[in-house]
Amino acid sequence: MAWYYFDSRDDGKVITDDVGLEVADLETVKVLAAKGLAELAVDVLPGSLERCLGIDVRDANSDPVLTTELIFKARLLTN
Amino acid sequence: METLGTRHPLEPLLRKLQQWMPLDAKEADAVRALPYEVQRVKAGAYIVRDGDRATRSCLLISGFAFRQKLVADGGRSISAIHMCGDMVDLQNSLLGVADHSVQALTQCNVAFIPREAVKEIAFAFPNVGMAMWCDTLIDASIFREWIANIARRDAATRIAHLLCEFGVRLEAAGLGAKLAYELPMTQEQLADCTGLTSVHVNRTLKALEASGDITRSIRHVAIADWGKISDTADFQSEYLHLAPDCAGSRAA
Repeated sequence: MAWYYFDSRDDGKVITDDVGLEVADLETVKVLAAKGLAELAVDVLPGSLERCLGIDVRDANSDPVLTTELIFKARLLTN
Repeated sequence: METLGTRHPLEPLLRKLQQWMPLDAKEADAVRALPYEVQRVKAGAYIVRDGDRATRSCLLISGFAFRQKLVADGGRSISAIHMCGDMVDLQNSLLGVADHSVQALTQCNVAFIPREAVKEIAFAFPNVGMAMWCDTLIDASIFREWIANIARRDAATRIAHLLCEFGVRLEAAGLGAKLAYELPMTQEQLADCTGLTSVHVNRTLKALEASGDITRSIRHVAIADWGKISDTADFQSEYLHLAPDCAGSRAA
């Protein structure tokens, strides 16, 4: 088990994780980042036309271990 | 008889039952005369395990506990938070087998009351039985609210709702004030209460701070404007049935 910090990006805005999580391995880190990103998307994408979301994970030494990104684009195809 | 300070250990139960139903002196004495055994339980320890055959009911006389179920992949869902005065498994006095687990959230003192004694007092003193019935009905009302919370509210609303409910129940139990309290929960436990990841809980708590709904310092939560957070939380307290004319007078 090791501590990891999951910082979120919503377009240009970064929300830094100052609490962290104790996680068993990097595979679980990836799963948690993906689920966290999906939850962020559920909350912010309705009403958006373009949005870039991401979660960047640091280890206890603040070294980056994972970056994720989700790009959303919506285009209305009728007038 | 074991006592905690000068207070009778079953006094929190009496207070809770009287919230739902006025009890006269004889009925109150009968509650105080229930047989019990007090045990100290460490944070994280199990009070009841899923599948246990119930031989006793558990009254929380200090500390906090939660009800939880585990799913096949190991994920945990917390379905209720309990505090002093709560019977954490009153339904077991009739159902017989625990269908979920109860764990201590903090160090707790728990009074274990034999299941048969709970049944006997409910039938010998119908008002006590009615108050216990109301208690389980209100538990069910809270479960329904939590299901709606998880099923249909966004993350900020879910977490704000949980913070409102915790404050209101704490105040009703005489354990604190709804506008400022210690929340005895980790972000992982908050996540398991709200069906979110702790990653999203962390982010959402920060958003609630940024919007001025709450201020936090470690586990201390302060709410400056109850109206504002109630709006954010979609919180109306009627489901807690705390109004004086709610449970008791209807049952009478």
